[in-house]
Amino acid sequence: MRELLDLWADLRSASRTHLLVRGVALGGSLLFALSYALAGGGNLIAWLGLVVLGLLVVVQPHTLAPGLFLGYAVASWWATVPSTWHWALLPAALGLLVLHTAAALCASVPAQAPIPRTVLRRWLDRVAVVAAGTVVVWGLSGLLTLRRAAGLGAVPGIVGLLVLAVALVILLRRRGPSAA
Amino acid sequence: MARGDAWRPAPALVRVVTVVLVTAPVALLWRRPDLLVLVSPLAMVMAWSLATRPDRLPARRFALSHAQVREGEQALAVADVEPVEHADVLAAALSPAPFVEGVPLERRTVVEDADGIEIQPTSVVVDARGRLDDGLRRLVVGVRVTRWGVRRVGPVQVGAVSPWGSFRWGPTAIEPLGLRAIPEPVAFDSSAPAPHPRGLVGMHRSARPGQGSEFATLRPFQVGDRLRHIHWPRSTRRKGELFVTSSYADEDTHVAVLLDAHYDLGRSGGVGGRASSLDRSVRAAAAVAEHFLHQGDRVSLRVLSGRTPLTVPVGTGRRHGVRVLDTLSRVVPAAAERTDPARVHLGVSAGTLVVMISALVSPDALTQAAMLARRGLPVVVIDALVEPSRGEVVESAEKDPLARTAWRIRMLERDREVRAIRAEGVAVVPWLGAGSLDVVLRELGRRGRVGRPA
Repeated sequence: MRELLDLWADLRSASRTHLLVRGVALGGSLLFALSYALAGGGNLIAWLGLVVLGLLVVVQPHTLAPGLFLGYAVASWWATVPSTWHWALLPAALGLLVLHTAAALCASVPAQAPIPRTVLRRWLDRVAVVAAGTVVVWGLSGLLTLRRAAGLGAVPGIVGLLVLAVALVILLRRRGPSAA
Repeated sequence: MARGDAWRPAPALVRVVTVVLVTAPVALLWRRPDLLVLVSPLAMVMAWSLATRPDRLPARRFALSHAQVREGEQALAVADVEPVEHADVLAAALSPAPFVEGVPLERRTVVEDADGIEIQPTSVVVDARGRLDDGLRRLVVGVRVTRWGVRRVGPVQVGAVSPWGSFRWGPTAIEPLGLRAIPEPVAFDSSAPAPHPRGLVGMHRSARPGQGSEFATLRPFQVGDRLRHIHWPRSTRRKGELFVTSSYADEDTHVAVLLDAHYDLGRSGGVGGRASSLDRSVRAAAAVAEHFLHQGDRVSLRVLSGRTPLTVPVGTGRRHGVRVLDTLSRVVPAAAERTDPARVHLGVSAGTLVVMISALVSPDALTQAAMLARRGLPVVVIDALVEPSRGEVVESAEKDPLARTAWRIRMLERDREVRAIRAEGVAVVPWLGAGSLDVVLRELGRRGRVGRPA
């Protein structure tokens, strides 16, 4: 109970920019929930669950709440959205990106301190870059899925994951013991 | 290395790594490429975060813009942090400290935490990319000290995050610093002269004729009189006789301010809030000292306290005033062991006006006041337990009826003790601001003139 009171006090005493970023996190959760509904997934309870979890992220962005939201969101999509590709995938993925980024920024700085405009702009630029990458992935995925990928099956996914894994290994080796 | 003094993965990174690493195999095993698309932005964020992990620990330091301020004034707490490569956002937060408030940068509502303590705006966030001072980024928090004394500012917690908030350094604490807040003298003025001026120059009219600004009489010209003192209207009325105007000599006096800091009764709310007995005492002492120094008198200060028995010798002028205020800011209340009256020696000589500021609950202070009065010194005791706005002794803030009764009994005893020292010739006046001492000083001056030749 005491922790909840502290969280509430933290939210009430937060700076305007901090509240704005928390609001953006809520917007991300709502965007995902809407896209999820449009993709034909879930039911009223699942959508309400997403909204409640989104509100939890707003109240406590520095706790497990954002992780719970992401886990619940991906699991819900997997369990209830029937098709392997839907146009609503893009806004859904962007919703997750926005929620994660806003929660990370909120958890990085004291709530009472105003966040400088230059920081907000740079984080927005980064989100835009990743969003552009997501659009490319979404587009390629759509092309491959809709054309059945000329019978390639899961090959594109495996290749993509392999590329990612190799990139990670190279990165970690390059950093070596200094990173520890 | 202190805990937190390293770049560590933040929950944001743990979150994306977990989601991506759990979702990817599921997507492959269940042939759900849509799940890969769903987590693709998180995978990109993860890769970006790992590629921009900072290595070096930031250098940092902490300083204050001022070594000394007046209570109620502001100072800047400056934390300098090195913006190492891949550091993205820097932050600093001051730990709460008594009588230190943060200066808000924007309009805000007062919010209290679960303990009922007001949350202060004592944190700041800056962009790691910006103007550098000596290779460091400056994080500035405005603080306002609301009570006199040596106030602790800090410790300051500094931290930094990498892009996407994925790696975090800190929060790392930097040792607190002391900021001396000198008391803000309350409004005080006195039109009454000091009772027994004994010096050579000053603002007070002497009983003796001499060089001064106050008119005494017209008298016949004597050898050695200055020509500019000739009173021409009177001199031209009678032929062959010149008259000159004579004046009283101007003198200063020695005012010995004794501050009773044995107890601090009541709860202090700082500047603008409720005042404790020691708040009233210290501010009144500052006001009295400033007033007499401004008049050109010599002032000394002695603090009666078991912990800080401070002394400022006799002096005059503006620099001496600063010295007195500086000493007052170091007062710490502590009861002293009972003083042996035979050994009371406060360094005051005949003709000194003694102004004691006391809550009059310490037997030691009462003893010293009585001893000084017995030596024939004019002693004025300012009662600092009286609330100036109400003109009566403050009531107990205790909720316990037994404690309230005990307080009332102690106040009755105190009344008896005050009557006893009044009988010894000590004037006791409540502190009521401007003009508080006028009546008493005039009375003491009259007594003094009766007792010595004009």
